[in-house]
Amino acid sequence: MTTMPTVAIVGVGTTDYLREQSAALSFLAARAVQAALADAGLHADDVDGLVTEGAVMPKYLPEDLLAAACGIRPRFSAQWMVGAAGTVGAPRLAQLAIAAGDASVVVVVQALGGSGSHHDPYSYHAEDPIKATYEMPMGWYGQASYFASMAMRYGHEYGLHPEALAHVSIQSRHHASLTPGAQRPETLDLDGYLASRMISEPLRAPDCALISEGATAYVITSAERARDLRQPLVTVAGVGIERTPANQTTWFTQREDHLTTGAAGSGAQAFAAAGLTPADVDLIELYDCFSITPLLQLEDLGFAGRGEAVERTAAGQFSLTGELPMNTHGGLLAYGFCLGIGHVTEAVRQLRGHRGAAQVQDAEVALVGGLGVPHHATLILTGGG
Amino acid sequence: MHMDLTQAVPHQPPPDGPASPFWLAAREERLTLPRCTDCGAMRWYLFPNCLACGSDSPEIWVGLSGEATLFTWTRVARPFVPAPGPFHVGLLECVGAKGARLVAPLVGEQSPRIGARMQVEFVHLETHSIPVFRQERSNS
Repeated sequence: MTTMPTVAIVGVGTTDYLREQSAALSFLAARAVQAALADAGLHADDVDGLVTEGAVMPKYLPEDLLAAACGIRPRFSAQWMVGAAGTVGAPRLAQLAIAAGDASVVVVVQALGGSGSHHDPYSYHAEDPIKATYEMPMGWYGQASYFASMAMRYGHEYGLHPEALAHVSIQSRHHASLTPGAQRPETLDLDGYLASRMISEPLRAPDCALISEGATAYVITSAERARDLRQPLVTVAGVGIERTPANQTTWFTQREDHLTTGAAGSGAQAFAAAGLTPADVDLIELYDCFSITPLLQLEDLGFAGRGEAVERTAAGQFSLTGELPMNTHGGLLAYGFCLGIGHVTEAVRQLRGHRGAAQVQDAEVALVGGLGVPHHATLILTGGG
Repeated sequence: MHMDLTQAVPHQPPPDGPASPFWLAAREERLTLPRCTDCGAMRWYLFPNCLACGSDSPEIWVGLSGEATLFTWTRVARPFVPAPGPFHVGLLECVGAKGARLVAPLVGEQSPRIGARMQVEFVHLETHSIPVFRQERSNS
Protein backbone atom coordinates (compact mmCIF):
# COMPACT_ATOMS: atom_id res chain seq x y z
CA MET A 1 0.00 0.00 0.00
CA THR A 2 1.22 3.47 -0.86
CA THR A 3 2.15 5.65 2.07
CA MET A 4 0.02 8.77 1.87
CA PRO A 5 1.93 12.01 1.92
CA THR A 6 0.52 14.76 4.11
CA VAL A 7 -0.87 17.52 1.91
CA ALA A 8 -1.58 21.16 2.65
CA ILE A 9 -3.73 23.96 1.33
CA VAL A 10 -1.19 26.63 0.45
CA GLY A 11 -3.19 29.23 -1.45
CA VAL A 12 -6.73 30.61 -1.51
CA GLY A 13 -8.29 33.12 -3.85
CA THR A 14 -11.69 34.48 -4.71
CA THR A 15 -13.46 37.00 -6.89
CA ASP A 16 -16.13 39.31 -5.58
CA TYR A 17 -19.52 37.70 -5.14
CA LEU A 18 -22.27 39.72 -6.71
CA ARG A 19 -25.88 39.06 -7.59
CA GLU A 20 -24.97 39.56 -11.22
CA GLN A 21 -21.68 40.01 -13.04
CA SER A 22 -21.08 40.72 -16.68
CA ALA A 23 -17.89 38.63 -16.76
CA ALA A 24 -17.90 35.13 -18.24
CA LEU A 25 -17.57 32.23 -15.82
CA SER A 26 -14.23 31.27 -17.38
CA PHE A 27 -12.90 34.74 -16.62
CA LEU A 28 -14.17 34.68 -13.04
CA ALA A 29 -12.57 31.25 -12.54
CA ALA A 30 -9.28 32.49 -14.00
CA ARG A 31 -9.22 35.46 -11.63
CA ALA A 32 -9.83 33.19 -8.63
CA VAL A 33 -7.07 30.80 -9.71
CA GLN A 34 -4.61 33.66 -10.27
CA ALA A 35 -5.42 35.02 -6.82
CA ALA A 36 -4.97 31.60 -5.18
CA LEU A 37 -1.62 31.04 -6.91
CA ALA A 38 -0.41 34.51 -5.95
CA ASP A 39 -1.48 33.87 -2.37
CA ALA A 40 0.64 30.71 -2.38
CA GLY A 41 3.58 32.31 -4.16
CA LEU A 42 3.22 29.88 -7.07
CA HIS A 43 2.75 30.38 -10.80
CA ALA A 44 0.49 28.94 -13.47
CA ASP A 45 3.47 26.95 -14.78
CA ASP A 46 3.69 25.13 -11.43
CA VAL A 47 0.18 23.69 -11.74
CA ASP A 48 -0.05 20.10 -12.97
CA GLY A 49 -3.32 19.06 -11.35
CA LEU A 50 -6.90 20.36 -11.49
CA VAL A 51 -9.99 19.18 -9.62
CA THR A 52 -13.42 20.70 -10.11
CA GLU A 53 -16.88 19.80 -8.93
CA GLY A 54 -18.50 17.22 -11.17
CA ALA A 55 -22.02 18.33 -12.07
CA VAL A 56 -22.45 22.09 -12.28
CA MET A 57 -18.97 22.82 -13.63
CA PRO A 58 -19.00 20.42 -16.61
CA LYS A 59 -22.42 21.73 -17.53
CA TYR A 60 -21.63 25.45 -17.46
CA LEU A 61 -17.83 25.70 -17.70
CA PRO A 62 -16.12 22.90 -19.65
CA GLU A 63 -12.72 21.80 -18.34
CA ASP A 64 -10.81 22.58 -21.53
CA LEU A 65 -12.05 26.17 -21.57
CA LEU A 66 -11.43 26.52 -17.85
CA ALA A 67 -7.80 25.37 -18.13
CA ALA A 68 -7.17 27.56 -21.16
CA ALA A 69 -8.67 30.62 -19.47
CA CYS A 70 -6.55 30.00 -16.37
CA GLY A 71 -3.41 29.50 -18.43
CA ILE A 72 -2.72 26.12 -16.81
CA ARG A 73 -1.93 22.76 -18.43
CA PRO A 74 -2.83 20.16 -15.79
CA ARG A 75 -2.00 16.62 -16.94
CA PHE A 76 -4.03 15.29 -14.00
CA SER A 77 -7.58 16.64 -14.24
CA ALA A 78 -10.80 15.38 -12.73
CA GLN A 79 -14.38 16.45 -12.16
CA TRP A 80 -15.48 14.99 -8.87
CA MET A 81 -18.87 14.46 -7.23
CA VAL A 82 -21.91 16.71 -7.23
CA GLY A 83 -22.24 20.08 -5.55
CA ALA A 84 -20.46 21.02 -2.35
CA ALA A 85 -19.16 17.47 -1.80
CA GLY A 86 -16.91 17.99 -4.82
CA THR A 87 -14.76 20.84 -3.60
CA VAL A 88 -14.92 19.87 0.08
CA GLY A 89 -13.82 16.32 -0.75
CA ALA A 90 -11.30 17.39 -3.42
CA PRO A 91 -8.27 17.34 -1.06
CA ARG A 92 -8.60 13.55 -0.92
CA LEU A 93 -8.33 13.25 -4.70
CA ALA A 94 -5.44 15.71 -4.73
CA GLN A 95 -3.69 13.65 -2.07
CA LEU A 96 -4.11 10.46 -4.14
CA ALA A 97 -2.75 12.17 -7.25
CA ILE A 98 0.22 13.58 -5.33
CA ALA A 99 0.88 10.16 -3.70
CA ALA A 100 0.85 8.48 -7.10
CA GLY A 101 3.19 11.05 -8.57
CA ASP A 102 0.57 12.16 -11.09
CA ALA A 103 0.52 15.73 -9.81
CA SER A 104 2.47 17.94 -7.45
CA VAL A 105 0.45 21.16 -7.38
CA VAL A 106 -3.33 20.74 -7.65
CA VAL A 107 -5.74 23.63 -8.14
CA VAL A 108 -9.35 23.21 -7.00
CA VAL A 109 -11.78 25.71 -8.49
CA GLN A 110 -15.51 26.38 -8.47
CA ALA A 111 -17.23 29.05 -10.50
CA LEU A 112 -20.94 29.67 -10.42
CA GLY A 113 -23.33 31.95 -12.19
CA GLY A 114 -26.67 32.11 -10.48
CA SER A 115 -28.62 34.83 -12.19
CA GLY A 116 -29.91 36.08 -15.48
CA SER A 117 -26.68 36.59 -17.38
CA HIS A 118 -25.68 32.94 -16.89
CA HIS A 119 -28.49 30.66 -15.78
CA ASP A 120 -31.13 30.89 -13.09
CA PRO A 121 -30.59 28.92 -9.88
CA TYR A 122 -33.52 26.57 -10.48
CA SER A 123 -32.89 25.63 -14.10
CA TYR A 124 -30.44 22.89 -13.12
CA HIS A 125 -33.38 20.92 -11.70
CA ALA A 126 -35.78 21.89 -14.50
CA GLU A 127 -33.46 20.17 -16.96
CA ASP A 128 -34.21 16.82 -15.30
CA PRO A 129 -37.02 15.34 -17.46
CA ILE A 130 -38.55 13.41 -14.53
CA LYS A 131 -38.74 16.54 -12.39
CA ALA A 132 -40.16 18.46 -15.35
CA THR A 133 -42.83 15.80 -15.93
CA TYR A 134 -43.89 14.73 -12.44
CA GLU A 135 -42.80 17.52 -10.07
CA MET A 136 -42.99 20.91 -11.76
CA PRO A 137 -46.68 20.58 -12.80
CA MET A 138 -47.42 19.80 -9.13
CA GLY A 139 -45.62 22.96 -8.02
CA TRP A 140 -42.74 21.05 -6.41
CA TYR A 141 -40.00 23.17 -7.90
CA GLY A 142 -37.23 25.34 -6.56
CA GLN A 143 -34.73 24.25 -3.96
CA ALA A 144 -36.52 26.28 -1.28
CA SER A 145 -39.50 23.93 -1.45
CA TYR A 146 -37.28 20.85 -1.26
CA PHE A 147 -35.58 22.06 1.91
CA ALA A 148 -38.74 23.64 3.37
CA SER A 149 -40.28 20.19 3.33
CA MET A 150 -37.30 18.81 5.27
CA ALA A 151 -37.77 21.62 7.81
CA MET A 152 -41.50 20.77 8.11
CA ARG A 153 -40.62 17.14 8.75
CA TYR A 154 -38.04 18.26 11.33
CA GLY A 155 -40.77 20.30 13.01
CA HIS A 156 -43.05 17.28 13.05
CA GLU A 157 -40.39 15.16 14.77
CA TYR A 158 -38.86 17.69 17.16
CA GLY A 159 -40.93 20.89 17.06
CA LEU A 160 -40.08 24.09 15.24
CA HIS A 161 -41.55 27.38 16.46
CA PRO A 162 -41.77 30.36 14.06
CA GLU A 163 -38.51 31.92 15.28
CA ALA A 164 -36.64 28.63 15.49
CA LEU A 165 -34.66 28.94 12.27
CA ALA A 166 -34.10 32.70 12.58
CA HIS A 167 -30.94 32.40 14.63
CA VAL A 168 -29.05 30.62 11.87
CA SER A 169 -29.66 33.51 9.46
CA ILE A 170 -29.16 36.23 12.08
CA GLN A 171 -25.84 34.71 13.10
CA SER A 172 -24.67 34.26 9.50
CA ARG A 173 -25.50 37.86 8.66
CA HIS A 174 -23.54 39.02 11.72
CA HIS A 175 -20.53 36.97 10.65
CA ALA A 176 -20.78 38.34 7.10
CA SER A 177 -20.76 41.88 8.50
CA LEU A 178 -17.25 41.12 9.79
CA THR A 179 -16.05 39.66 6.49
CA PRO A 180 -14.49 41.69 3.67
CA GLY A 181 -16.22 41.05 0.36
CA ALA A 182 -19.43 39.57 1.79
CA GLN A 183 -22.36 40.02 -0.54
CA ARG A 184 -24.87 40.70 2.28
CA PRO A 185 -22.97 42.48 5.07
CA GLU A 186 -26.04 44.18 6.60
CA THR A 187 -26.96 42.64 9.94
CA LEU A 188 -30.43 41.24 10.65
CA ASP A 189 -32.42 41.12 13.89
CA LEU A 190 -35.38 38.98 14.92
CA ASP A 191 -37.95 41.65 14.02
CA GLY A 192 -36.38 42.00 10.60
CA TYR A 193 -36.42 38.24 10.17
CA LEU A 194 -40.09 37.93 11.12
CA ALA A 195 -41.00 40.79 8.78
CA SER A 196 -39.15 39.23 5.86
CA ARG A 197 -40.85 37.62 2.91
CA MET A 198 -42.01 34.02 3.21
CA ILE A 199 -40.66 31.94 0.33
CA SER A 200 -41.72 28.37 1.07
CA GLU A 201 -43.07 27.79 4.56
CA PRO A 202 -41.29 27.75 7.02
CA LEU A 203 -38.40 29.25 5.04
CA ARG A 204 -38.26 33.03 4.68
CA ALA A 205 -35.94 34.97 2.38
CA PRO A 206 -33.12 35.14 4.97
CA ASP A 207 -33.32 31.34 5.35
CA CYS A 208 -32.35 30.94 1.69
CA ALA A 209 -28.89 31.05 0.14
CA LEU A 210 -27.99 34.18 -1.73
CA ILE A 211 -28.03 34.12 -5.50
CA SER A 212 -24.49 34.90 -6.53
CA GLU A 213 -22.01 34.94 -9.33
CA GLY A 214 -18.36 34.46 -8.57
CA ALA A 215 -15.52 32.00 -8.29
CA THR A 216 -13.16 30.67 -5.64
CA ALA A 217 -10.04 28.53 -5.89
CA TYR A 218 -7.51 26.90 -3.60
CA VAL A 219 -4.14 25.22 -4.15
CA ILE A 220 -2.90 21.93 -2.67
CA THR A 221 0.61 20.55 -2.56
CA SER A 222 2.63 18.28 -0.27
CA ALA A 223 3.17 19.55 3.28
CA GLU A 224 6.88 19.16 2.62
CA ARG A 225 6.77 21.65 -0.23
CA ALA A 226 4.30 23.83 1.66
CA ARG A 227 6.89 24.58 4.33
CA ASP A 228 8.93 26.47 1.72
CA LEU A 229 5.97 28.56 0.60
CA ARG A 230 4.80 31.86 2.01
CA GLN A 231 1.66 31.13 4.06
CA PRO A 232 1.23 29.61 7.53
CA LEU A 233 0.87 25.84 7.16
CA VAL A 234 -2.68 24.42 6.96
CA THR A 235 -2.66 20.65 6.54
CA VAL A 236 -5.35 18.21 5.48
CA ALA A 237 -5.85 16.00 8.54
CA GLY A 238 -8.66 13.84 7.24
CA VAL A 239 -11.32 13.55 4.55
CA GLY A 240 -14.45 11.41 4.64
CA ILE A 241 -16.89 10.75 1.81
CA GLU A 242 -20.26 9.09 2.20
CA ARG A 243 -22.75 8.14 -0.49
CA THR A 244 -26.45 8.09 0.35
CA PRO A 245 -28.68 5.57 -1.47
CA ALA A 246 -30.40 7.88 -3.92
CA ASN A 247 -29.65 9.82 -7.09
CA GLN A 248 -30.19 13.47 -7.94
CA THR A 249 -33.69 12.78 -9.21
CA THR A 250 -34.89 10.82 -6.19
CA TRP A 251 -32.95 12.34 -3.28
CA PHE A 252 -35.38 15.14 -2.40
CA THR A 253 -38.53 13.03 -2.46
CA GLN A 254 -37.93 9.29 -2.25
CA ARG A 255 -35.18 8.79 0.33
CA GLU A 256 -36.50 7.15 3.44
CA ASP A 257 -35.26 9.56 6.11
CA HIS A 258 -35.40 13.28 5.33
CA LEU A 259 -33.62 14.36 8.51
CA THR A 260 -30.21 12.83 7.95
CA THR A 261 -27.53 13.55 5.37
CA GLY A 262 -24.38 11.61 4.54
CA ALA A 263 -22.55 13.70 7.17
CA ALA A 264 -22.75 10.99 9.85
CA GLY A 265 -20.75 8.61 7.67
CA SER A 266 -18.35 11.13 6.14
CA GLY A 267 -17.76 12.74 9.53
CA ALA A 268 -16.89 9.43 11.21
CA GLN A 269 -14.45 8.64 8.39
CA ALA A 270 -12.80 12.05 8.56
CA PHE A 271 -12.40 11.91 12.35
CA ALA A 272 -10.91 8.41 12.10
CA ALA A 273 -8.47 9.52 9.40
CA ALA A 274 -7.43 12.56 11.44
CA GLY A 275 -7.27 10.71 14.77
CA LEU A 276 -9.49 13.42 16.25
CA THR A 277 -12.94 13.65 17.85
CA PRO A 278 -15.69 16.31 17.70
CA ALA A 279 -14.37 17.68 21.01
CA ASP A 280 -11.07 18.62 19.32
CA VAL A 281 -12.73 20.90 16.74
CA ASP A 282 -12.40 24.67 17.17
CA LEU A 283 -14.65 25.85 14.34
CA ILE A 284 -17.01 24.40 11.75
CA GLU A 285 -18.02 25.49 8.27
CA LEU A 286 -21.17 23.63 7.14
CA TYR A 287 -22.94 23.81 3.82
CA ASP A 288 -25.90 26.11 4.35
CA CYS A 289 -27.99 26.38 1.20
CA PHE A 290 -30.92 26.90 3.60
CA SER A 291 -31.00 27.49 7.34
CA ILE A 292 -32.21 23.94 8.02
CA THR A 293 -29.22 22.37 6.22
CA PRO A 294 -26.42 23.09 8.73
CA LEU A 295 -28.75 22.06 11.58
CA LEU A 296 -29.19 18.59 10.10
CA GLN A 297 -25.42 18.27 9.65
CA LEU A 298 -24.70 19.45 13.22
CA GLU A 299 -26.78 16.52 14.43
CA ASP A 300 -25.29 14.04 11.95
CA LEU A 301 -21.75 15.04 12.91
CA GLY A 302 -22.36 14.68 16.63
CA PHE A 303 -22.07 18.37 17.51
CA ALA A 304 -25.69 18.32 18.72
CA GLY A 305 -28.08 15.56 19.74
CA ARG A 306 -31.09 14.70 17.55
CA GLY A 307 -33.56 17.56 17.70
CA GLU A 308 -31.19 19.76 19.71
CA ALA A 309 -29.42 21.77 17.01
CA VAL A 310 -32.15 24.42 16.82
CA GLU A 311 -32.11 25.29 20.52
CA ARG A 312 -28.34 25.19 20.76
CA THR A 313 -28.09 27.58 17.81
CA ALA A 314 -30.68 29.89 19.39
CA ALA A 315 -28.58 29.88 22.58
CA GLY A 316 -25.63 31.20 20.58
CA GLN A 317 -23.42 28.15 20.95
CA PHE A 318 -22.42 28.22 17.28
CA SER A 319 -21.93 31.97 16.95
CA LEU A 320 -18.54 33.62 16.72
CA THR A 321 -18.48 34.08 20.50
CA GLY A 322 -19.97 30.67 21.25
CA GLU A 323 -18.21 27.44 22.13
CA LEU A 324 -18.05 26.19 18.54
CA PRO A 325 -18.28 28.99 15.93
CA MET A 326 -20.01 27.98 12.71
CA ASN A 327 -19.95 29.55 9.24
CA THR A 328 -17.67 32.31 10.42
CA HIS A 329 -17.79 34.19 7.09
CA GLY A 330 -21.57 34.10 6.77
CA GLY A 331 -21.72 31.10 4.47
CA LEU A 332 -24.10 30.77 1.58
CA LEU A 333 -26.79 32.68 3.49
CA ALA A 334 -24.81 35.91 3.75
CA TYR A 335 -21.31 35.73 2.24
CA GLY A 336 -22.18 34.37 -1.21
CA PHE A 337 -23.24 31.23 -3.00
CA CYS A 338 -20.47 29.14 -4.50
CA LEU A 339 -21.37 25.65 -3.26
CA GLY A 340 -18.83 24.39 -0.69
CA ILE A 341 -15.56 25.96 -1.72
CA GLY A 342 -16.00 29.18 0.24
CA HIS A 343 -16.38 27.15 3.42
CA VAL A 344 -13.01 25.51 2.71
CA THR A 345 -11.19 28.79 2.05
CA GLU A 346 -12.75 30.38 5.15
CA ALA A 347 -11.47 27.48 7.28
CA VAL A 348 -7.99 27.99 5.81
CA ARG A 349 -8.03 31.73 6.57
CA GLN A 350 -9.16 31.03 10.14
CA LEU A 351 -6.39 28.49 10.72
CA ARG A 352 -3.84 30.96 9.35
CA GLY A 353 -5.09 33.53 11.84
CA HIS A 354 -5.93 35.98 9.06
CA ARG A 355 -9.58 36.71 9.85
CA GLY A 356 -9.31 39.99 11.71
CA ALA A 357 -12.56 40.91 13.46
CA ALA A 358 -14.01 37.44 12.78
CA GLN A 359 -10.96 35.51 13.99
CA VAL A 360 -11.69 32.49 16.20
CA GLN A 361 -9.06 32.67 18.93
CA ASP A 362 -6.49 29.85 19.00
CA ALA A 363 -8.13 28.07 16.08
CA GLU A 364 -6.18 24.89 15.37
CA VAL A 365 -8.72 22.39 14.07
CA ALA A 366 -11.48 23.21 11.56
CA LEU A 367 -14.16 20.93 10.13
CA VAL A 368 -15.87 21.59 6.79
CA GLY A 369 -19.07 19.80 5.76
CA GLY A 370 -20.05 19.69 2.08
CA LEU A 371 -23.52 18.44 1.27
CA GLY A 372 -23.97 17.18 -2.25
CA VAL A 373 -26.41 14.77 -3.78
CA PRO A 374 -25.95 11.89 -3.24
CA HIS A 375 -22.52 12.42 -1.62
CA HIS A 376 -21.48 14.24 1.51
CA ALA A 377 -17.84 15.12 2.19
CA THR A 378 -16.26 16.10 5.49
CA LEU A 379 -12.84 17.76 5.53
CA ILE A 380 -10.77 18.29 8.68
CA LEU A 381 -7.95 20.84 8.49
CA THR A 382 -5.32 21.64 11.09
CA GLY A 383 -3.17 24.73 11.46
CA GLY A 384 -0.20 25.65 13.54
CA GLY A 385 2.15 23.16 11.87
CA MET B 1 -69.12 27.99 -0.40
CA HIS B 2 -66.59 26.04 -2.40
CA MET B 3 -63.27 27.51 -3.37
CA ASP B 4 -62.43 27.38 -7.04
CA LEU B 5 -59.74 24.70 -6.89
CA THR B 6 -58.16 25.82 -10.14
CA GLN B 7 -56.89 28.78 -8.09
CA ALA B 8 -55.19 26.46 -5.58
CA VAL B 9 -52.91 24.64 -8.00
CA PRO B 10 -50.04 25.63 -10.28
CA HIS B 11 -50.76 26.02 -13.97
CA GLN B 12 -47.75 24.38 -15.57
CA PRO B 13 -48.60 21.60 -18.01
CA PRO B 14 -46.38 18.50 -18.21
CA PRO B 15 -43.80 19.06 -20.96
CA ASP B 16 -44.92 16.11 -23.10
CA GLY B 17 -48.60 16.93 -22.78
CA PRO B 18 -50.60 13.76 -22.22
CA ALA B 19 -47.77 11.36 -23.19
CA SER B 20 -47.33 9.84 -19.74
CA PRO B 21 -49.90 7.27 -18.55
CA PHE B 22 -49.87 9.19 -15.27
CA TRP B 23 -51.27 12.36 -16.83
CA LEU B 24 -53.59 10.47 -19.21
CA ALA B 25 -55.13 8.71 -16.21
CA ALA B 26 -55.47 11.97 -14.28
CA ARG B 27 -57.58 13.34 -17.14
CA GLU B 28 -59.99 10.43 -16.42
CA GLU B 29 -59.82 10.98 -12.65
CA ARG B 30 -57.70 7.89 -12.05
CA LEU B 31 -54.49 7.76 -10.01
CA THR B 32 -51.88 5.34 -11.30
CA LEU B 33 -48.20 4.65 -10.65
CA PRO B 34 -45.76 2.26 -12.38
CA ARG B 35 -44.70 -1.07 -10.92
CA CYS B 36 -41.96 -3.49 -12.01
CA THR B 37 -43.46 -6.55 -13.70
CA ASP B 38 -40.47 -8.66 -12.61
CA CYS B 39 -39.79 -7.82 -8.94
CA GLY B 40 -43.00 -5.99 -8.04
CA ALA B 41 -41.28 -2.88 -6.65
CA MET B 42 -42.80 0.48 -7.46
CA ARG B 43 -40.78 2.11 -10.24
CA TRP B 44 -41.09 5.65 -8.92
CA TYR B 45 -39.52 7.50 -10.35
CA LEU B 46 -39.64 5.74 -13.70
CA PHE B 47 -36.15 5.16 -15.10
CA PRO B 48 -35.35 2.97 -18.15
CA ASN B 49 -34.53 0.10 -15.79
CA CYS B 50 -36.05 -0.86 -12.44
CA LEU B 51 -33.73 0.56 -9.74
CA ALA B 52 -34.60 -2.37 -7.45
CA CYS B 53 -33.85 -5.33 -9.76
CA GLY B 54 -32.45 -3.87 -12.99
CA SER B 55 -35.27 -5.23 -15.14
CA ASP B 56 -35.95 -3.43 -18.39
CA SER B 57 -39.32 -5.13 -18.92
CA PRO B 58 -42.11 -2.64 -19.61
CA GLU B 59 -43.60 -1.36 -16.37
CA ILE B 60 -47.22 -1.92 -15.47
CA TRP B 61 -49.29 1.06 -14.35
CA VAL B 62 -51.40 0.04 -11.36
CA GLY B 63 -54.58 1.80 -10.33
CA LEU B 64 -54.60 3.21 -6.79
CA SER B 65 -57.48 4.00 -4.46
CA GLY B 66 -56.21 7.53 -3.93
CA GLU B 67 -55.92 7.08 -0.18
CA ALA B 68 -52.56 8.36 1.13
CA THR B 69 -50.62 9.49 4.19
CA LEU B 70 -49.00 12.92 4.24
CA PHE B 71 -45.22 12.60 4.79
CA THR B 72 -44.35 16.31 4.66
CA TRP B 73 -45.48 19.52 2.98
CA THR B 74 -44.80 23.20 2.40
CA ARG B 75 -46.84 26.23 1.50
CA VAL B 76 -45.25 27.78 -1.56
CA ALA B 77 -45.62 31.50 -0.94
CA ARG B 78 -43.33 32.47 -3.80
CA PRO B 79 -44.03 30.07 -6.68
CA PHE B 80 -41.37 29.44 -9.31
CA VAL B 81 -43.88 27.92 -11.72
CA PRO B 82 -46.90 29.73 -13.20
CA ALA B 83 -49.61 29.82 -10.52
CA PRO B 84 -52.59 32.04 -9.65
CA GLY B 85 -51.20 32.46 -6.13
CA PRO B 86 -49.61 30.63 -3.21
CA PHE B 87 -50.43 26.94 -2.91
CA HIS B 88 -49.70 23.93 -0.70
CA VAL B 89 -47.72 20.97 -1.98
CA GLY B 90 -46.88 17.75 -0.16
CA LEU B 91 -45.17 14.38 -0.34
CA LEU B 92 -47.71 11.58 -0.19
CA GLU B 93 -47.34 7.89 0.56
CA CYS B 94 -50.14 6.22 -1.35
CA VAL B 95 -51.91 3.08 -0.19
CA GLY B 96 -50.94 0.27 -2.55
CA ALA B 97 -47.68 1.92 -3.62
CA LYS B 98 -45.23 1.06 -0.86
CA GLY B 99 -41.85 2.76 -1.23
CA ALA B 100 -43.07 5.49 -3.58
CA ARG B 101 -43.77 9.09 -2.67
CA LEU B 102 -45.90 11.23 -4.93
CA VAL B 103 -45.66 15.02 -4.97
CA ALA B 104 -49.02 16.73 -5.36
CA PRO B 105 -50.85 19.90 -4.33
CA LEU B 106 -52.89 19.84 -1.13
CA VAL B 107 -56.32 21.45 -0.87
CA GLY B 108 -58.77 22.08 1.94
CA GLU B 109 -59.60 24.50 4.70
CA GLN B 110 -57.31 23.01 7.32
CA SER B 111 -53.59 23.48 7.53
CA PRO B 112 -51.99 20.24 6.35
CA ARG B 113 -50.97 17.84 9.12
CA ILE B 114 -48.09 15.36 8.71
CA GLY B 115 -49.32 11.81 9.22
CA ALA B 116 -52.91 12.69 8.24
CA ARG B 117 -54.95 10.40 5.99
CA MET B 118 -55.60 12.12 2.68
CA GLN B 119 -57.81 11.34 -0.31
CA VAL B 120 -57.21 12.22 -3.94
CA GLU B 121 -59.48 14.36 -6.08
CA PHE B 122 -58.84 15.92 -9.45
CA VAL B 123 -58.68 19.50 -10.64
CA HIS B 124 -59.30 19.97 -14.34
CA LEU B 125 -57.43 22.70 -16.16
CA GLU B 126 -57.72 23.41 -19.86
CA THR B 127 -54.42 21.72 -20.69
CA HIS B 128 -54.27 18.90 -18.14
CA SER B 129 -55.76 17.58 -14.91
CA ILE B 130 -53.98 17.52 -11.58
CA PRO B 131 -54.41 15.01 -8.76
CA VAL B 132 -54.69 16.92 -5.48
CA PHE B 133 -55.12 15.61 -1.97
CA ARG B 134 -57.54 16.65 0.78
CA GLN B 135 -57.48 15.57 4.40
CA GLU B 136 -60.15 12.96 5.14
CA ARG B 137 -62.94 14.24 7.39
CA SER B 138 -62.99 11.16 9.61
CA ASN B 139 -59.75 12.11 11.37
CA SER B 140 -59.94 15.88 11.09
